[in-house]
Amino acid sequence: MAILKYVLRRLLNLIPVLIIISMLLFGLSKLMPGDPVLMMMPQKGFKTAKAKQEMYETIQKKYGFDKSIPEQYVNWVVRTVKGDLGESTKYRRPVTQLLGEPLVNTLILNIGVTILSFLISLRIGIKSAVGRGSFYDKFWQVVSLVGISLPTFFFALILIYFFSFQLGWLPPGQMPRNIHDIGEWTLHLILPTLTLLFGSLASTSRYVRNSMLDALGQDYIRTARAKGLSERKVIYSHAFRNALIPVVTIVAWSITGLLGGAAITETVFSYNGIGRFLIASVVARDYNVVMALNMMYAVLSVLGNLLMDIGYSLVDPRVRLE
Amino acid sequence: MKKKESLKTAPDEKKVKSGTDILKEEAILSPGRMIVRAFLHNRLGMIGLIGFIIIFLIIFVGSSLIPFDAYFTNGVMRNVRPGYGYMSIPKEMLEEGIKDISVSTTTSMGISQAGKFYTWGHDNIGNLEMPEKIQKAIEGQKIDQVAAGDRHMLLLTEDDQVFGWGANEFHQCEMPKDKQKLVEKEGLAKIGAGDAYSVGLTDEGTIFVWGSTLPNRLNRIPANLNGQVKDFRTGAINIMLLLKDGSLRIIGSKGSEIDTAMPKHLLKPGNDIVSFARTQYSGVVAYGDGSIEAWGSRNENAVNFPEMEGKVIEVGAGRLHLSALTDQGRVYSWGPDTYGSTHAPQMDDAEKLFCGYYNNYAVENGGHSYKAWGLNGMILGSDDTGRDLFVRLIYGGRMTLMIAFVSVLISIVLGIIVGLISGFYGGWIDNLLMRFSEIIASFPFYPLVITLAAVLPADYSQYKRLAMVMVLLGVLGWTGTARLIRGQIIAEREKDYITAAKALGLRDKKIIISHILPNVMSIIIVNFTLGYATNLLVEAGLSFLGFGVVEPLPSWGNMMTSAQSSDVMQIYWWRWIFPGLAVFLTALTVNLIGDALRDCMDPKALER
Repeated sequence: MAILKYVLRRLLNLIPVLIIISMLLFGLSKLMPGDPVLMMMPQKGFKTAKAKQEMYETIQKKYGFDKSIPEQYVNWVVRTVKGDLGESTKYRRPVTQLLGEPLVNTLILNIGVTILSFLISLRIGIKSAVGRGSFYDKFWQVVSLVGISLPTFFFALILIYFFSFQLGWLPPGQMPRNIHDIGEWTLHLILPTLTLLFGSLASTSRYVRNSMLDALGQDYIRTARAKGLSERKVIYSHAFRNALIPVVTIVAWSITGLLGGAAITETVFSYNGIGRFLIASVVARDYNVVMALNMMYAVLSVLGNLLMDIGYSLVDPRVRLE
Repeated sequence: MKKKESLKTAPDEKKVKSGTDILKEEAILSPGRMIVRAFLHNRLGMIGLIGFIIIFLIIFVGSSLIPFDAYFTNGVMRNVRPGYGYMSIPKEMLEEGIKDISVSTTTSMGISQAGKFYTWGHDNIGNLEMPEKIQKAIEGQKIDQVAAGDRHMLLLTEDDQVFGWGANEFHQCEMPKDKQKLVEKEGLAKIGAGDAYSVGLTDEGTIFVWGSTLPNRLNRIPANLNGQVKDFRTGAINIMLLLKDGSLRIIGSKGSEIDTAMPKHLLKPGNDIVSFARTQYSGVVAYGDGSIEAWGSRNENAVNFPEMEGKVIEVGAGRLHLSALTDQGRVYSWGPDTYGSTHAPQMDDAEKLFCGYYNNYAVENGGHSYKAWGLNGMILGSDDTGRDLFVRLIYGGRMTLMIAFVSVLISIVLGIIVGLISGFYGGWIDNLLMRFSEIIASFPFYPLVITLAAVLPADYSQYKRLAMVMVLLGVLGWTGTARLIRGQIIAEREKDYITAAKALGLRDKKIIISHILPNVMSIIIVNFTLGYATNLLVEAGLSFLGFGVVEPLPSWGNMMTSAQSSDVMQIYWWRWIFPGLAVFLTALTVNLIGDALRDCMDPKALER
């Protein structure tokens, strides 16, 4: 019950935050170069300048661009809340229809990455912390340093160079042609997954290792060992559960990141995900799409924060939700 | 000295060194020295520090030594493979003595006084190796002349046979049948090779061209020149002729400065020309009295030749630069200093001069030794517009390092200010600032930066854009630091020494700056280092996507943008591997330093 109350209050607290974010975003969209009305109009084929002007005014009126900025903002918020994100100027279709496919694609890619990264980094982090200073620990520390220093696009290019061009085992990118063929999906997913996995593994495993080390240094671990508990029990039921708290942060973030997409990785692999879609929309100056996506990102990360706090209380009963 | 230190050091930070010396045992290290000592003993940290210093020196010393023009392009040197030693003539050829040298873009070829053929340099396209068929055909024959075009090679044997190989898309390597008949009738005095075309000059003085002749109009040679030509110099799109009557002519594409700026008297007969040469847009002649005259494009600056000792007996020219040899054996070069082609050495016994593209060879000692200057190779190759990747890597690195530095500086300063105020005052100020930082932090970084970078007006100048990118990265990146510092300060605020300072009646400003700031210094330094590495990667990623530094200014990120095409990735691997490695190594060294610093500054970490 306490949790429910807490969530409710936090959600209410989020409203002002979201309002400020939406104001910032709206201001941003007004700063963008180019006239959105002109972009919606056909470029040629007007008989007279007057006909062009008339069409301009019709469109301006239809989409409410003739009103003052605050009015436009209110209209936009009302429409957005209703679920109408406007129309894409590039595809001339409602934004809500366009977002579906890239979102699903990003989700498909990221779910695998998140689960794998979490499982593998738990294993590496715990084993490194337990055998601190061992070869295993040092090896993974160097690997994780390399992982956080390696630019995503460079790693992706290296993978493509070897596995696609030199060995010819895997496709260099693009979406599978037959989207119902699981085998083809798997082949197309391997390289992007590896790329994202390496980066996320590097930071997550470090995190797990450090929080595990902190936990192992506590007095209750010595007590547990003194009681004669098996090492396995000491590590997994005593140390690990306490080490989980900081790890929850990362997991909460990666859950919201599931839909966030990875702009660079998706671009390099020509993977039709949400990150690449954002870049394409920014380049095409497709305002409504850019606005919708940024708003989505903002909501996601605000929710991620909330999720994180709830997660804390779940793994650590000492954290009171206030 | 020692006493002073011990006074400054807090008792719990004392570190007593074990040793036999009593004085040493009592020696106390200040926290700063302890950190330095711990860092010096951290092997990975030292590797990182040394590595970063090396990278830093290469970039900043290199960029102050090597000149750079971001707008320079040079199509003829595009996609050159990494290589070196373009000017190293084979030993065997030197033993036999140099007779003739013809220079191409990355390869040169020559014949020895024994009539043997040699090539050296770097076969960029991979087809400049003489085919076996030709090798067999010329076996036992003496070779009279060589001519290297931009991507093809010709050779002329003593019995007037012409062989060609290399790029052959316009059949520039095969002399057409009708021209062969002409050669049979009139004999062949000289061959030449230009950009995708080949030239022959008969003993009678008739010039003929084959290969790519339509775009440069070399298919139309005025009939009144037949039998009049004494010598010629090939260029990219036209040919300069010296006629038997002592006048000069340009055939082929006209209208550039080599044609329009030519002194009028050179078009008339009766000039005593002993030597002549041409670059792409300029020309130079040496007269019998040892004086020279030059004309042409202002960019190439041919007119301003240096003062020379002795009489000029020979002039030569590459693609853009000009060279001269005097009767005192001295050599001079002037014009655009592309790839160092005007750095003529001090010589006093040069006998002959061979120039072409970006290279110069001055032969001495009867053809048995030589000095060369100009393009000796591009160690990291070149990109699709012929820009030297090594130079771009250095200047791109300067850009990347600078952007990362300034942006991390902005974010750290903002973070310190917000964190200090928020942590020290608490209450509603803290609440407001923290809500604000939450809002900033709740925007996902990449999408927002990309969106903001796209909002920058298109008519922004390059440098204004750069400044905006730095500010953008800085303004979006401060929240983490602010939170960390705030947390640390909240912990410090309650400690006794702050209470004491407050009780003494010190002002807030004084307390914050002299008492609290030093205690959060370690957090600031570690955050600065790690943030620097992060921003390096962010800048590279942003420029890679085309939203950061934009061409023609180089940055490590935008140098790799072209690797999104599979051609570049597969064939021109040097164009993406080197910048990628540069970003990686720099970020790695900085991360190693940051990691080591964190371990050294955090006493808890030392126990780990």
